[in-house]
Amino acid sequence: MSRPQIAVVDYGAGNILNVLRALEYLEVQPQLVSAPESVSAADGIVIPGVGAFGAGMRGLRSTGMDQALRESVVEGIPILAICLGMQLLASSSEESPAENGLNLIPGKVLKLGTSTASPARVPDTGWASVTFSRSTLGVSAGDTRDFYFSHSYYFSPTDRAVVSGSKIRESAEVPVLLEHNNIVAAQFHPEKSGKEGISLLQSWIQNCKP
Amino acid sequence: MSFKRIIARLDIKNHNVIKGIQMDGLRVIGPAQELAKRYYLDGADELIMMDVVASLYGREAIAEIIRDVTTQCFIPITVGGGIRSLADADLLFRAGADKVAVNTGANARPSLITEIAEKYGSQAVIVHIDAKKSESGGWEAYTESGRNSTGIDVCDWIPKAIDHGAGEVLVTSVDQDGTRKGLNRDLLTTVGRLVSVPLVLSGGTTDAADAAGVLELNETDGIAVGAALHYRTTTVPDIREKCRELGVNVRELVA
Repeated sequence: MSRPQIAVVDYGAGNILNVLRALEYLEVQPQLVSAPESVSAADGIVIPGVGAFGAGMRGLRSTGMDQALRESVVEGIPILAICLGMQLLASSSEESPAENGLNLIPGKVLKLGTSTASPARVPDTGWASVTFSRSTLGVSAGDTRDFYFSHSYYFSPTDRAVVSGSKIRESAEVPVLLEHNNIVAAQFHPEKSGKEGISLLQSWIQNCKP
Repeated sequence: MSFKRIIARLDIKNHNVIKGIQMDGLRVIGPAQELAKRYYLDGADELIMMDVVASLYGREAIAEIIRDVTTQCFIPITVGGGIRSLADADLLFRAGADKVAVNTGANARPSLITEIAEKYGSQAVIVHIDAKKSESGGWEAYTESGRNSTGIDVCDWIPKAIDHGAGEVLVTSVDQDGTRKGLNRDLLTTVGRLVSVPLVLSGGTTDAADAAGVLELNETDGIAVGAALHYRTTTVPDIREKCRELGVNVRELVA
């Protein structure tokens, strides 16, 4: 059986290495790509990344990758966006108000803690429990899984129906797993979330048909 | 509320995990790669890899170990030992480290903390303090893996390190280290009063009850366990189980 070709988008953001290593561990051969034509040939696309929203968008636009990702959505190629990768899918971000996002999942990226009376520490780094609101990626609706986070901003989608999982922070629900069309977007780092994270990645890879 | 962390600590010399008593009389436990994998599979929440000779011999060996370990261990990894410059930290982040721990280098030049925090975020910089009880009854900060006395009281140094951008504090009791005679609660109480960031205590874990008992305390965000795991006095699952019994909020493993 041939393995799916997974393209990992390199747009100058940090921490891409550990995503590659997790995919290699799962025996797919990930390809680090920065040329737009490389993603349209892929069986699955991962948008990883740690860093700032504005720099991330400029990185995607400078190579034409933004347009290539929009076309990949139309073509129905499975996309997994992680952390900053997830936030870039939004329409805009408080982190870089002058920059438009990809708008592949309509919504805004907001700073954590600004809407609460006693803001918790930001960046919010560490393990947290995610409650799944629908059955997806090998996890049943209503179940929880613990994942590793490191973020200062979060994605607030316009249509709450795209939310598949959320965590509780300062008594408020924060959406951390979104699904829309062929896109899965996670605020947490499955590549740093132990066996549970690896298992989630593995389930996603099963959607990528060679 | 975030989970309390059970962290496996590997003190590394060349490619081996070593452990001494009170940071002296080092003994080889086994290859770093194998131990890291064992603790990862056992469900450790994080790994701390401390290169105990890096200050003396350079950092390429530890970078190579990190590259190996991160192909098999998918949890956050903190790397420390011998970081004197932003370039030293860059090398470790590029190898796959999620956070770096600075001690000696930051003591000599606190702005090192700021430089790393500005590039990678404060959550990626841990200030590591080797503390030793002084004759006056206070706690003194040591450097060079507990070899050098600084004459600085930890109560003066820690707030300064946090002001410079340290996002987490790891404090090791030099006198307890490797003894398995119990985590030092006096040190925890002393430091706990000073910190506004997550605090991890290290040095001397006896068994699961000792570990869970300290994790139960408000001051503690995590404990780093070395000798007790290496010599199998306890295991990560034992500590996790004990935490559950005590009602300590720890990560749940399902896979």
